[in-house]
Amino acid sequence: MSLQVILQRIALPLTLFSAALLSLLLLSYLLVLPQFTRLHRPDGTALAPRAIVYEQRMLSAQLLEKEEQREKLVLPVIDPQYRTLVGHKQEQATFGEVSAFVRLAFARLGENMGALDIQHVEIQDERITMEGAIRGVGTRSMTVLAAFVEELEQSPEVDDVDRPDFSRSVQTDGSIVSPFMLHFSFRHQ
Amino acid sequence: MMITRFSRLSTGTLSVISVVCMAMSAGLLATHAHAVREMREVGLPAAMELPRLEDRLQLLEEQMDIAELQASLRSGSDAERVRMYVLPPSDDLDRLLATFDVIFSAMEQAGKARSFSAVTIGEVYVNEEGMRVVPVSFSAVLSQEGLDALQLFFRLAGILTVGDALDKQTIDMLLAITETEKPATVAAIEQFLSTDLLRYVEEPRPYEEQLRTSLSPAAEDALRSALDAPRLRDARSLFSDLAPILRTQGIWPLRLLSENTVAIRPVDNGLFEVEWTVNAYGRIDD
Repeated sequence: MSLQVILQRIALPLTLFSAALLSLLLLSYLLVLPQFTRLHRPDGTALAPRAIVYEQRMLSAQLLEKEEQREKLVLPVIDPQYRTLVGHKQEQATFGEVSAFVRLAFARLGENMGALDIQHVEIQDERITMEGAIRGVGTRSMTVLAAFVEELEQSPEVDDVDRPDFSRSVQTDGSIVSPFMLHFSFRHQ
Repeated sequence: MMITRFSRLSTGTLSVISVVCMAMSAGLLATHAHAVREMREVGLPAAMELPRLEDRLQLLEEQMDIAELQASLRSGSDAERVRMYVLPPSDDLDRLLATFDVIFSAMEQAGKARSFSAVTIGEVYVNEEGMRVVPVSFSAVLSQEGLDALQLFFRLAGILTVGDALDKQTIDMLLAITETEKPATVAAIEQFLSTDLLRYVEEPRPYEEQLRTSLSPAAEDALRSALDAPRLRDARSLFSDLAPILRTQGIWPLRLLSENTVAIRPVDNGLFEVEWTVNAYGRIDD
């Protein structure tokens, strides 16, 4: 049988089959698929997946707004300038907080705590200036100072560290010290 | 009849029709697969969140109605106290210096400070936010405990209510409690947060009990955590001894004070030499 004859014989059944398949798939697309790929709400609406995500985002945004409104209502706001200043005061760090944080950072180095000698601390808003010296660690004073500075830089509470100059000097008793002056911003948790 | 009509079409035409129908069917099959996958990966996770979000939104709206009603019942005296005393329209130097007098004396009597220098009032200026600022400078020799206490005092000076003394995290914790309780509990939280800080510190139990009775036992742990918040604890420890004298001297509520610069130098015997510049805030008179 030649190809032409085969084609002549199967053309009509194939056409009927493909037409029937197309019709069924079209019916499925229009009637069946929406039943399984839409979210049917009680009010009769049906949401497609993207619309569901949009609805979720809208609700989340509304919730955020309501939470902020609720917070403003339960806190007696009184005065916007008062509110701003009170918020600012809560962010200020005390010497105790800065000192504890710095000592904890130094302790993580595994060095003797007596090696960190803090001589002067100045706190202005978030900006801290700290003067001191590393002593009692022999010839490693600059190394320990560098490790201390790195430890501070890696802390999430600290930003914008101005690195000190690294130097060492020999005291009259023969001990070696590395003085430092550090500037950094501190956000207490 | 349609089949008869089809059968009269040429083989070529029928083949083309078949191919087109098959191609369209393939496209529709792909569309089906994509729609099902999209629903499974995108739609279903989001759909599962919707009931929770809607319930929470409804709860918040009910709480808002109650909170608005409660807010409308407040007398507005706090706003007046802020205007008159916390952020006064004048320099109010006598009251300001009385504040320093009180805290310096309290610290010396408690043995937390060895000495205080004279207090210097700087030139008054208006800052970028339109606030009147009186810079106050002084120095002191005090212990670590005294330094902590004085810095805590400046952190709390000017704060009027319990709510203002708490950080956002603690307030969020208290509000989260109300979402697991009846919506009306938000009124109890609101009342607690608006309690005068000094009154609360002098006698915390009645206010805490009043709050406790509004909540179910299930909220006890969360409530205890909130009441034990560091700032509230600090306020209780600092003001409980100072409260009587603050009242008799008539300097409560305190002027809003904020540390500008603090320079600390350790000296002998575990003491610190500290130089302070503190800003005392006020309003520009309207």
